[in-house]
Amino acid sequence: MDGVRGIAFARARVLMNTIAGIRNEPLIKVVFITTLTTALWFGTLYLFHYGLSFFYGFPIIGPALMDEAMYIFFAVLFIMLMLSALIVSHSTLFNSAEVEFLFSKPMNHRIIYIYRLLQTGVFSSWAFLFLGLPLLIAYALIKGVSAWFYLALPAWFAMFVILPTALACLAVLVMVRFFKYERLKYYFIAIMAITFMALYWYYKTAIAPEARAGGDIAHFMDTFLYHLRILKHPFFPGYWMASSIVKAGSGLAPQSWSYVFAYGATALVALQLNWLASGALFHRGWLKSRNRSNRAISHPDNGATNRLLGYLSFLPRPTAALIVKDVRIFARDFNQYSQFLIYLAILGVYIFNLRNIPASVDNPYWKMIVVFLNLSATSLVLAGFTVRFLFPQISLEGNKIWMLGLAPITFRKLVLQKFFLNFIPVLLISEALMVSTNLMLSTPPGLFFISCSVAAMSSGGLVGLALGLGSLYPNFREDNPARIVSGFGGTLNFVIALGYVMLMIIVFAFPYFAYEIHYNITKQTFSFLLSGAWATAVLATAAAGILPMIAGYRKLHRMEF
Amino acid sequence: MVKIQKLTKRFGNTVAVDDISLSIEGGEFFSILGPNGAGKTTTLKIVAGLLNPTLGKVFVGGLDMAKKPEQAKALMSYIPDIPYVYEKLTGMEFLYFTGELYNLDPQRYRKDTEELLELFLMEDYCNQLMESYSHGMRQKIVIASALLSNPRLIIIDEPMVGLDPRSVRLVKDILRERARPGTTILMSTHTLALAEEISDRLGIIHCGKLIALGSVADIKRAALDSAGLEDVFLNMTAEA
Repeated sequence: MDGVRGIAFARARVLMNTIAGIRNEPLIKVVFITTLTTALWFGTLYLFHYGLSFFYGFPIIGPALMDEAMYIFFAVLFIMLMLSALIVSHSTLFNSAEVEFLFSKPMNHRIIYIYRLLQTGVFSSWAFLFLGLPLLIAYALIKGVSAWFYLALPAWFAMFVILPTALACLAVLVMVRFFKYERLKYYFIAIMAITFMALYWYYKTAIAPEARAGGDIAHFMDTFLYHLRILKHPFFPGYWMASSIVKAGSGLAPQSWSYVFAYGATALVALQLNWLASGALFHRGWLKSRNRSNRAISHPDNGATNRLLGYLSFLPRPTAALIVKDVRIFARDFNQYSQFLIYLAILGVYIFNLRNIPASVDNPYWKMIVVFLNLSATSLVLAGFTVRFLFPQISLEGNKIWMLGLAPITFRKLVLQKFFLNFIPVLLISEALMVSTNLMLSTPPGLFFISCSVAAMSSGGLVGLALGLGSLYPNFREDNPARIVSGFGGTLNFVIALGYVMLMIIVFAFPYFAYEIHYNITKQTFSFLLSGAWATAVLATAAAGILPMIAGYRKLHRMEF
Repeated sequence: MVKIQKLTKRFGNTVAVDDISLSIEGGEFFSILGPNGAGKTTTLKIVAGLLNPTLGKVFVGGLDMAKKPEQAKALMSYIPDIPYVYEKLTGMEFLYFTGELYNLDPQRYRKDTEELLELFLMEDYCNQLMESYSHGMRQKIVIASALLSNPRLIIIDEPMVGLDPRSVRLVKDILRERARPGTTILMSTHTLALAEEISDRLGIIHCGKLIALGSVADIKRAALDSAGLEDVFLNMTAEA
């Protein structure tokens, strides 16, 4: 087919050259990163195994509870992958220098489209690969499934990603072709707002009242799961993939395969629809997207961002100018702020969800688990947020970075400016989240203080880590943040952030669980372990947040433009 | 080879190209001149099928670009002002990739690749990743890739930007050599001396309008100016 061989050749060579490039890296660095990644992967596997075993160990309802967790996980994941692909596909299909390059060649437009669709799948799902794989393996280990399950996992993963990606790309394709291009971002925002409002409405009207009425955790779980039955609707694709896993876990291979085939057939139909639609719509839509009229922006002396410049007059002028520039670019980049809105919406849904738990949780054992789970969830969201939004910031300065290099501002100041610009909102968000959720959970004062402190330290550590590694591994030639993040530096950032968050939680959770739940340490040991936890957390935060930033701005300083 | 009929391109309220018509014969070296923002790149992109005209038509080799874009593109190579390359490919791999995209015979494109790399003095760098290339080296590889498919039409936007004097001479010679046996060259440039030196005909675009068309001598005559093209250009674009 026209161009398929060429693209396959180029992509294969790019992959091989990237892998071969590792040979030029210092051996100690390669060994360190490989060991760290492997250790974290197995650490994640262990944590998932521990968590799922915990569910599985519940008398009578344990196995069913674990299966329910899988249904919820895959349903949410399917929706999130679709939203993510919806955002990523726009820049991958319609706003990419490679697409313009390929359109200048005598290539079949459908081939270009399908190629970019597959790339969209990769860009929108790389984190899922890192986290999803250990979850599935942990589930399979607990259920003791046969070897074919593990062998089928790569194909299973690829298939799971294709359907939401294909549906999202088709939606974007149709929207770009038939709607006014300049208004596209408003449609995206409307779709997301409607999705989250619908979820909230369903939750508020169907789930929350009954959940609040209950007095114990069993009743809450029962009611909660009953109302999530919509996620197990036989026409919902996420259900098919979850079912294929659950059936495989129950030793029902034929049923498992039937769900895999149902999903696979649907994914193929979605790809076929994309193939057909792209022939008529892609090139025309792409040409239409080139016709953007030059929107007039208000004079620099007017507008909200200029007022911001006034508020920042206490700062040195170059620093204030950099802050205003970053805010302006963020506010004008739909790809950036739309994903930011998704994050905020997820946090909103999460807080509403927690509002129902206090009435059901009066047992100290459960309270402890919920408090640490809350801290873990918030920290993980923060980790994802910083990797996705902060890591690409230095790279997005692009080939204009030389201008900053010539300006009367050092790279140290540049990195510090970005740190404080991001640290303050991240700290405010995480503390607001932590205080509100702990108030809802009626968390005891000691744990309340610890979780707020961990959130504050994590905010600093994660922001510094993302900006530091972003400076150490910049990609000035890429203007798509999703692509920047999916490179080596972004993946490393994700892995280290994950390890850092896990460490921060484990060091505090361990003494609390040992002393207050299992009663297997004395108060003196508890105090000793808690002091150790504080010391470890402070050191880990300093190492994660400060060291990469120092290394990062030194690298920028040495860089030749 | 190229026929542009009443071409107009609007971006919102801005008219980038305003009712341009022209015809370029096979083997002709045609240059488009104009100040910044005159509409040169927009015109070239429309001919290359990378922009849709608001009004008018473009034919390449008799094929309507709006109706048969893939067949029309098979006849041409387009070299943009800021060339796109795959950073993680070597120069040689990029040329092989181009050969595959144009469905060329592998034996032929491998042989031609070697010749082109030698011609552009890139043999020593052809196995290095393009992320390490200078702008000029990238430009040479992109020009080499454009020549690889032996196109009947080469559209080239600001070809000499970033090239050293030796490479400028080389590219000039190669383009002229290609034009001789029948390849049509459509070039946009700011370098008036270059256009004067190698073009068979040229067109001056100002504010989207084609304000002069013909050979260098014709244009000088029309402007009643015996001075260099630079003076004619400055006078015309100042008056229009």
